[in-house]
Amino acid sequence: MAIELMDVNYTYMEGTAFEHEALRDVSLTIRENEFVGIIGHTGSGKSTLVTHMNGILQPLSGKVIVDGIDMSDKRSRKEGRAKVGLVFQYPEHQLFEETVAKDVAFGVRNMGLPEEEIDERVREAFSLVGLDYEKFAEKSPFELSGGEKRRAALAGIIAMRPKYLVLDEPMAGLDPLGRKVILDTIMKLKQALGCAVIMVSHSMDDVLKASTRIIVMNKGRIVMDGTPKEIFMNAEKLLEINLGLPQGMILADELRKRGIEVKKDVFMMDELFEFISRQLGLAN
Amino acid sequence: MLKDITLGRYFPGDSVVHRLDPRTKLLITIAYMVILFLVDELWVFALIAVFMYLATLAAQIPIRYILHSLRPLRWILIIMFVLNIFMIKTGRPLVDWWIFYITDESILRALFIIARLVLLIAGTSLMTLTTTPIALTDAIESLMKPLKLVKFPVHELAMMMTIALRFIPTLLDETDRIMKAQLARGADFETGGLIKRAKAMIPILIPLFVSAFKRADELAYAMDSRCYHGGIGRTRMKIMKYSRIDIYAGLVMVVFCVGIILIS
Repeated sequence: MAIELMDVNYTYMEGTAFEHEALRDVSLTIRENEFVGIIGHTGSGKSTLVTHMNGILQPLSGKVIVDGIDMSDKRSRKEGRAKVGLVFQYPEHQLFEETVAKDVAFGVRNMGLPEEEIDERVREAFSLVGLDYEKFAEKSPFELSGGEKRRAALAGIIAMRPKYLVLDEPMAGLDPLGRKVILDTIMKLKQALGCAVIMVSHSMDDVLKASTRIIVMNKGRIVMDGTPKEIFMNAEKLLEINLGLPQGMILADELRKRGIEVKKDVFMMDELFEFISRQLGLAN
Repeated sequence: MLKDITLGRYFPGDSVVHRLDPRTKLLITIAYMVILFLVDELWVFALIAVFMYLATLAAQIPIRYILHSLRPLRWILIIMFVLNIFMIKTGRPLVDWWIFYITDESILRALFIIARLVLLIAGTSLMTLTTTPIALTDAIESLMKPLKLVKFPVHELAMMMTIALRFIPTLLDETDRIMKAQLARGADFETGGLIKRAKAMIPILIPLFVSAFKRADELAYAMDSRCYHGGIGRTRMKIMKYSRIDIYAGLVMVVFCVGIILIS
């Protein structure tokens, strides 16, 4: 069971003066239980790619198949869409109900479940994203803070219990602490729900910290696809398309320049911190 | 999803028509519209159509763009045509059967109406395709300046139009984004009766209004912090200037108008 994309092509505003090729011959298989990070520049096709995964955008050519369901088929699409929970950029902009609980329930209610189950799932979703049900359930979503709104929007998708959780820039526009909280929540969600996570991000460090597999996009194509180690051992290729490197790698490089031997596969700040502590004899 | 909306869409280019001063284009379009309503003979309409075609060529705009702008109005055109054929009872009868009573004059009149409307839309489309909405409002402001003498708020009106036009694409994008987000949550906009469909709009409209008000607020702050205080003493970044091509275009239009009036 997997999300499969086969030779997917997509062009915005086809046939007009504003034509813009967003995806070119993209083929990709995402299996259950993976944590896939997708990185690339603005306009590299990341968002277009993930919007194809639940059939909201239909490829101009090629196929998208979710657990054997062809997403181009109008009747079966709904079933496939229920498996893929897509959280768009700035999801807090979609909130509209009178209370947070009603808003979180919107997606589940559209699935046509009985009321008791809706209620149960909503409560579970609240606790999974770290919102206190008693405190927030009856509030208006417009009273919440930015970070709370985002978690409420995330809960709306979680309540639908997707098999594949797709997140487009889930940390965009948050401060460092907010970013950490959301990223930790996502990693916790993956554990709790046992779903696959596909996360689009600008931040190398976030992707590196969470992913088991990284896909690098450039100009509508997949240019790299592999484990974090495979990707970052190939740093020249990343720099070639003007993508940055994780903080840990940059610092490790600086240390090497100053004559300190650092292992080649140190990418994360935490790893580097540990290494330095050991060098200084400060272990534990 | 909403990509088919062509309202006031600008077709970027660098043709003679694009380079014309927006005021010239606006005045020419107004003159063209007046002429259309003065004309009363089919072959003159054909002449105007040729003129339109040449203007489109000069603007280097594919003809299909002009035709595309007619598409949303195709039903109105058809209804107008049919109504005119049956409503006009004067002239020599051609068909007189059951409730159908068609005369030569009714067919002619119906053709006039259609020709007039098609040429009218084609002409105004050519203007909006070759002029950015912002340039157009600048032109309106400049041409309406004399009204300031009677205390008409010309600048304020132009600023409101500019802002409205500026935010049409932004709000369309926003609507598209919100629609996709609600679709991802299983919203259904396409099935059900009228009431169910109207209700399905709520999850789109509320976030859209929230963001529109927020944008309006932010814009007001931004204008305030740049000391905007209306049109008094305000200078422009782009100053509109008539150039030689404006004179030529004006002359061509004058000759054309006089010619049409003389022959018809």
